[in-house]
Amino acid sequence: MPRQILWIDNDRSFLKGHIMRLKMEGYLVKQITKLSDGADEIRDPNFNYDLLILDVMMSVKEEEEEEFPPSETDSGRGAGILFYRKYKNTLEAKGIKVLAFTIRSDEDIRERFREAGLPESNFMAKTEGSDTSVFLKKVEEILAERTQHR
Amino acid sequence: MLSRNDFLSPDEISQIAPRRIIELAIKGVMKEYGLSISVMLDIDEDDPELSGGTDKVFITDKGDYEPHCAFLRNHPDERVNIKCPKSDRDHFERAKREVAKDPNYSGEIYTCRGGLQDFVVPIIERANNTFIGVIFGGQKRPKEFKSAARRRLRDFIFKQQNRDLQLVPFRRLYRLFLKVDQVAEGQLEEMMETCQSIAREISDTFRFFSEQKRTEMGLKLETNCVGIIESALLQAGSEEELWLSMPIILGAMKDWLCFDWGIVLKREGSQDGKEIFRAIETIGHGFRHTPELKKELLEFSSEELERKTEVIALPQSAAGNIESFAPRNSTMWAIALARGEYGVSAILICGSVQEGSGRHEELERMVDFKSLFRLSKISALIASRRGELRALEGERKRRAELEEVERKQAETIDTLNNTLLSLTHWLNRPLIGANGILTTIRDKHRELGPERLEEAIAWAIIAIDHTALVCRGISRIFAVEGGREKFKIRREKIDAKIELQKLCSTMRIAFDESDISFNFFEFRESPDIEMDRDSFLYVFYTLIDNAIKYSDFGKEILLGCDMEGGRYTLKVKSYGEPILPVEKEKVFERFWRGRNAARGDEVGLGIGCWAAREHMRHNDGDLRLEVSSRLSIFIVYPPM
Repeated sequence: MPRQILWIDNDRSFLKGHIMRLKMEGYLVKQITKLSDGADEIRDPNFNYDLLILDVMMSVKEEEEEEFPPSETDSGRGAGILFYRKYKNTLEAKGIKVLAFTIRSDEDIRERFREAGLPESNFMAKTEGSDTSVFLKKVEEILAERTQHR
Repeated sequence: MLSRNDFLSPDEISQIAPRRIIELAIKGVMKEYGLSISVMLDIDEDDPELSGGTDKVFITDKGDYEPHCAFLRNHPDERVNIKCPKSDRDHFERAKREVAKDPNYSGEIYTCRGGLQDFVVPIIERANNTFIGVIFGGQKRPKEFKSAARRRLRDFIFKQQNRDLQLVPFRRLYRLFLKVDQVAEGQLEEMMETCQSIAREISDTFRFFSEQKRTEMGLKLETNCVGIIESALLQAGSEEELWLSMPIILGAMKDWLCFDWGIVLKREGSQDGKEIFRAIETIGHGFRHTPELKKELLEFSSEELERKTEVIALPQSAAGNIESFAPRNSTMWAIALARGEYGVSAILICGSVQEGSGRHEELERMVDFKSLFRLSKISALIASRRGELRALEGERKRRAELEEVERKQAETIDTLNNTLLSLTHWLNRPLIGANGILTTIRDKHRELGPERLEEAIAWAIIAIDHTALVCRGISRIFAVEGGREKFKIRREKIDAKIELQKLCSTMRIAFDESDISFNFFEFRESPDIEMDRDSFLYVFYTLIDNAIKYSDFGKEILLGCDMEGGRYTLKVKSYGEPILPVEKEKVFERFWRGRNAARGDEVGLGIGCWAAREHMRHNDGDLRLEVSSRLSIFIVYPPM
């Protein structure tokens, strides 16, 4: 059965190459551009993805502010971290791995993810992963880990 | 029988020794020769400033000489006779109101200060009575010392020279002196001697009675008071300010050293080689009527001040008989006899620190006290302390400036970091996207058909071009700003509509924004404009990019061309988060990002609009923004 990836990132335009690559490698990829849609997916009892690829800097629409307050998302700059914190337990319960894939590569954002409980190896800056072979390798490593733990 | 002639006129009273006054007053009380005379004692108050001197007045009645607040009676049979508890101003006010109803009384009533001459004396004088007032100054005495006072009084009145006093019932005398608080053996006598020969003895002021106070209140008071005094001195920025704070200083001294009252003398300069002092301030209770010191008190030379025994007799004036001096090596206090126009001498006594007195010896040991209150030292103290304060202030300011500089540096670094992050993000995204496509092509080109391959490469080129366009656009402006390059305008004719259509098409591909549509319906004209092509592309790229980023989903971006004031204008309209009218110009400020932008994922630079306007202006055009609810209209004015 093909592996399923949920990709939450509001940047639809510049992920063409990466999504194309994943699809060509046989992954089913669903891209969601809004945090609230991503939350809906995760809360869905039928949620059955193998991997969540999570952007960090995402806009928070006004209607999403109740669930993702701007003060906690640093006005969107850390929206992905808040999302991860909120749904970490749900994801772990379902055995779904998370890859934080963000344009940000600063130590601060890495530290915040570590504090939130995300393993260091599950964080990748987009600049590191701009080469889709490198990106693919990271995805496969994380999924392999998931398979071992199942 | 005593007649009126037996009594002294106000003028005469002022000339004689106080002891005589006491005797006569007491006799008057005792004999009551058709006169109602009360002996008025100066009752120390807890807060003499509040009482304003009015509680210095006794009310007595025939059967009870309980010495409370009082005023004199004109008739033995009647008059308002209200007993007021000490410090009970309400009762006294009531008494005064009653007096005002007296048809015989036509004087003015003052509600504060001047209970004596402004209130009581007119009553007396009006009925051709002579007011004899004897006021004893003194400090509050603890009750436990009453017995000591009785003993001392008894000793005093049985002296040979005080035989006349023995005619006075002791009980009454005792009451008279009860209010004189004595705190040490022998001080009552000393004060009485002063009263008796006020003019002569005033220079040998009695020892003030702070010993008891000091014992009672302990060093804490001293520390507090010294602190107050020091603070007041230090806060004074100049000698002038020092004098303004004199009431604070003297008030503290009064509490600490138990002065009754005094006058502040200020050194005003020198004349004929002598330093001149002028009385400028009074402190404490005791003055029934304080004349305008600056007008009515004369100046005194330092020599006069230094003379311990010399009494300076001033001419009789509206202010009456005034004597003032400051004993040598004492504080700058002076003692004054002040009296107003009614010609009654009110003898007011205060204490001062006098060399040789026990108290003074103690104070001699207190270096701070001495150094604080020597006139010549005050300025030096202030100067040195001010110097210290200035140094401290200077240090504090330097530290504050340094902190401010550091804070600004940190802020600048923070801004630069954010800017760098934003720039990296902003420019990296398309490059990452392009690299993604290219590396996918590299690794999977065999599986991509030629069509998909071509499409992918084209997309990558668009993504790279996107970055290149933005980089060029911004770098040109910054280069000009940095003085590194002159903005070289390469004018060429541009078909605005066609170029915009191409740009929109490219951007739709690049951004993959399928739900945004571009509407060219408002392009009524399709003018050729002449401007730098790169500038044109950059400006509209920026405006359309913003519109795409911040538009509501499903909305259109309208592009139009119009005539306005005889020139073409090109417009980019979009619907999205409202921009407030007050923000219209801020949009073009560098690094400013609107609320809607700041909420987004785009940690943008906030320089797009600024750079776009710069481009237009370098091309002799302009760019502005109009807003209306959720509609934003960027209006481009191409060069004419």
